[in-house]
Amino acid sequence: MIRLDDNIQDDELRVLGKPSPEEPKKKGFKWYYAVAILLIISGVIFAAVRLFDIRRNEIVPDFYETELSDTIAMSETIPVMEKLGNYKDSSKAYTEHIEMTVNDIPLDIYIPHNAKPRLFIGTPDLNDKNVIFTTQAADIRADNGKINGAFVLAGEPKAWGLSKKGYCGIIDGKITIGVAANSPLFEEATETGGYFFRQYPLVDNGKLVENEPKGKSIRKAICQRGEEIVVVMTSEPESFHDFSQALIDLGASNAVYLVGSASYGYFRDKFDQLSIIYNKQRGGQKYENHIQWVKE
Amino acid sequence: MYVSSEGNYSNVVTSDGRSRLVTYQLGQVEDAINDQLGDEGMTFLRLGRSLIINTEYIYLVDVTKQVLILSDFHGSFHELSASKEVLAKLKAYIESIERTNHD
Repeated sequence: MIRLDDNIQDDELRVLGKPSPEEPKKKGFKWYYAVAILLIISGVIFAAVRLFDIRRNEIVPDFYETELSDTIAMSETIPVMEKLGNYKDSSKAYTEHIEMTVNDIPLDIYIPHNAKPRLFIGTPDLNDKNVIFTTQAADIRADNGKINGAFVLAGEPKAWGLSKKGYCGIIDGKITIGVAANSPLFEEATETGGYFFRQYPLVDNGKLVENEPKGKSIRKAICQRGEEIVVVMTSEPESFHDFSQALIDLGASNAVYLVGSASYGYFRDKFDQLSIIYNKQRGGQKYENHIQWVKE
Repeated sequence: MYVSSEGNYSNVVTSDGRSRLVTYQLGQVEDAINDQLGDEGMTFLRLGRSLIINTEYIYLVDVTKQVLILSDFHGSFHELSASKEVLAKLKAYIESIERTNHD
């Protein structure tokens, strides 16, 4: 294999994994023109559909945030920490569901009780009664379908990379949420059979963290609120900023995002009643991943 | 992790920190990735004449300082340099890839 013509300049970037473009043959000019015109027309239609979709649903761009902006605002009033959940029943594994409005933002709050958190790769089975709560955790890359950012599953690293500065680690059943480019929790998770994933940071020690995507969507987050770990979801599309502020007003000291919009999730309540938050997506992804709580 | 051009040879640096000088030009390495990895090879990018990188290991892109840092996220960092133009394109490329999730 001798390649005499390495046709690239120093200021050029080329995505590999696709056949190198070949010199067009003279006889093929009309054919190429026809394909090019078709591609352009398809591109315009696709762009128009995407634009409409973005305006309608606000699909957030950019899987790699190199310029996450600084923390900008301090919450002025953090409410007195009364636990949100009802902890009277200390034995049954179930999920408590609370509906609450904070600053005119309707929120669904899910509090798992007496269950062990873990990460899971795949599409959870609705019939698995050991799972009392599940919702999608880390994002999936569009270019290769793999998990976006560092991810550890039961001690085994499944993905590497700093896509977002927010992190969530689960070590010996204890959840830690924070914001850092490098977190020792990644190593700790690999050494102790724990779990780790990355997402957008929303609240860092009571401070609001701004994120680049500016549109509105159904937002989801995992939050630390005093001694409680709760999953919070908006009922209506909201901006990152308003959602983060609502979490602070709810009393969250730390929070990171979870896959938003109509991402798959369900829970089981005190009466073992199954409720689907959002149903499965068609054409599931190989590396769909969830944070879930399971009966011990 | 990345492959850099060393004249008529290429230096292949893997995520375990080892590097191997191979008797292939960078363009031949590029061809091998295209031929053998197919779509999986889209994780790799050719940056100018002298670099092929695996995008999964990108830690930092600093266009102004012309610095690209790759990391295995276990404490190993590789600082590489490239032209401002190609780093700007790299940044734009990364930022342009849309997630398939419904965030």
